[in-house]
Amino acid sequence: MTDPDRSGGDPRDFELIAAWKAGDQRAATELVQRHASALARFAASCGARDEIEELVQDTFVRAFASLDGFRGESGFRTWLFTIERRLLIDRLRAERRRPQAAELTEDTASTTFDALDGVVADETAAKVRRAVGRLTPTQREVFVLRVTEGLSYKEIAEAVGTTEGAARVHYHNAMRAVKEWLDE
Amino acid sequence: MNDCPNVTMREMLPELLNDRLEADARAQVQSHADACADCRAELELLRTVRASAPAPRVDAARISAGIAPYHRRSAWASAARSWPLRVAAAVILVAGTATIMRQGSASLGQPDTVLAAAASPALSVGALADIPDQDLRALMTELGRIQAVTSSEPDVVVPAVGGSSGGGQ
Repeated sequence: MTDPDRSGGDPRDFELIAAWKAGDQRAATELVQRHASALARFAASCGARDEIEELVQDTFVRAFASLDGFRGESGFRTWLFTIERRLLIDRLRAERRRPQAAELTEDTASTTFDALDGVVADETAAKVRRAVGRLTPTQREVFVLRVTEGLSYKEIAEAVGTTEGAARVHYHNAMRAVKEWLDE
Repeated sequence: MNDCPNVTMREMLPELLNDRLEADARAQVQSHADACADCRAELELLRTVRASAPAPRVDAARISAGIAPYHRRSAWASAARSWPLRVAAAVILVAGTATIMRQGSASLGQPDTVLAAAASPALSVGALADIPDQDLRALMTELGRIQAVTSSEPDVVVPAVGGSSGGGQ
């Protein structure tokens, strides 16, 4: 039922990867243009506050450096999400180890969303943003990947290192929670 | 806001939102959502979630400028970057060097070839990646051969002070 061209591996991504390996550096630029915004959205939704562009660039640099290890079993974007998520976790851990660094907790994640509410014109959108900010980190990752990026449960499971079943449960728990908070 | 009891349709709302359904399925889910108030409300919620997601701007040109051109690694170079293989190579090097040293100290008349091998500078493990495949293969073969060689040199016999007999076999 899901369109194969729009799930898993996008054929255009594989064409561009082959072109880059053949020496066409513009293919790398096109791949970045196709996926950079999604990576930035995901990073911001997961609580990254500063240096999002640097995080996205590190993700691409690492991905391109290890493209020989990319088997194409998942989509290129899903693979990028996996790499970005690991980098983000490493950064958040490093921040926690720094004595005066702000710790990423449920509260700080919510604050990140709250701080952005000022620029959200629509009140409903602000409420939704706050509700998403109240989700647990895992629920939020799954929810954002499913709703904002349109990933299947299989792709989400690959990106966040869990099972399809667990991803489905996280999504439905997140949806239930968001609805409840919006009804409050 | 209630949940639609038709789980199959409800499950596909995010796919509908993100245009990831085949034509038939898309028409089916859209038709259901048009008729179902719960699914319509949930689809609207999903649209709001997606529209209100933070969207930081990134400079794709700057990001792609940091990507180095593709450089295919040979199997040997990749293997040399692998930690288990580095450790194994280090063990072989140490064992090979120890064998040479033992042979050198145990014999009085060392053959020139062994002396030359013992005098050669040590190879750092980190430098393995820079060795051409052919040389690395030859090195591994040579180290394997050295390890396999048993000492055939005669034992050293210290002559007895004022002794009448000397030399050993």
